[in-house]
Amino acid sequence: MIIAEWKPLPELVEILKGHTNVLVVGCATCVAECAAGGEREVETLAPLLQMALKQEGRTINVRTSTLERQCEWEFVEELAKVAPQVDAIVSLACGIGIQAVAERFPELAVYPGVNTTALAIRQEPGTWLARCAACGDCVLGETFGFCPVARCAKSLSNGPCGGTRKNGKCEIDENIDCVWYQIYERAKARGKVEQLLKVRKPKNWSNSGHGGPKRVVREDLRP
Amino acid sequence: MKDANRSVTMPRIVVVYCRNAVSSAAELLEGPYTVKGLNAFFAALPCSSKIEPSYLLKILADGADGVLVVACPEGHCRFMVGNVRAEKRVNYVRSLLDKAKMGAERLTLERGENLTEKDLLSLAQRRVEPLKILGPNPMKGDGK
Repeated sequence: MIIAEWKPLPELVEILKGHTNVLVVGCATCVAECAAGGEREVETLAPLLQMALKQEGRTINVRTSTLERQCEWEFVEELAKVAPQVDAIVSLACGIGIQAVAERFPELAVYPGVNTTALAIRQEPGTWLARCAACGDCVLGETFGFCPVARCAKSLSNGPCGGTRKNGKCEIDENIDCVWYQIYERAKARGKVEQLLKVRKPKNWSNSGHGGPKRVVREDLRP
Repeated sequence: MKDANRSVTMPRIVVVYCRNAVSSAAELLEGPYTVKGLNAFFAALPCSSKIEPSYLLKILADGADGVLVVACPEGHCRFMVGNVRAEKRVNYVRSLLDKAKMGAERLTLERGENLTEKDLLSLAQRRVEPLKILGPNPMKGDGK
């Protein structure tokens, strides 16, 4: 899932200066799963914003809505009825959803209520870990199902750096596993350590952000 | 936030409590309860874990001066860890209230079991003075 985290409250209070009717919009998909922008978080942030703004002598009307997905035009359209009644939208969706709302309602100020941070998995309740960097050149087949791009602090392609701790943790964070240690352990368990001796050439980064904004076209699906 | 220029004669307190923390012989307190020195609203929950951060914040955004959550003692939850979850949520909301400069003290959690009506009233009563010191909820001015 795409994960995100609330922006600091003072930042939200600042960006809402001059606005009196605000719509806080959530997304019931990824950001709901990571407890940043689903219905619960929308209904939590709305009264919190009202109180924080009141402390600065500002009174705003806050409406709330949570769409099934903010990254699908059909769902974004549901805001068409309420949009004329507000002067700003705070979106708790990922950056994709925020941009979709801003594109559909260009006459309105649309602000991000979250920072989108990673493509991640819920490891346990309350803990999410990055798993994919959307690099455009997947190597998971060669690395025994572990992504060294997203899960190595240095995105190393050919083995660990010299900083792996003795307990298999990363040198930059004792709570993070060294992914190359994990890759080695899984390769060993499968009896295929020799596969790791193959030198991987530089990745083709041009298939993601490094090649300019990504555009995928499937002629068979187009209207 | 504390404001010495404001005065609160009777803070409005909302008490949400786990019904399992109340003695089976006791009558459940529900709704408004106004007596001398106390202006409280009581709501029983099937478990204290039923509280959500959004509920607690809405109660305060609607103008209550304080919220008191009453949970069972740790280890005595009928649903195993409901009261632990309640405490985590209360702590989370308290941190949010601080960030909003509302004051974490507006939300507190107490624990108890076999509570009587008198005990619940007493727990609410104990919140009156701290909330008076804290001052009125600034959200009250909005017709709430």
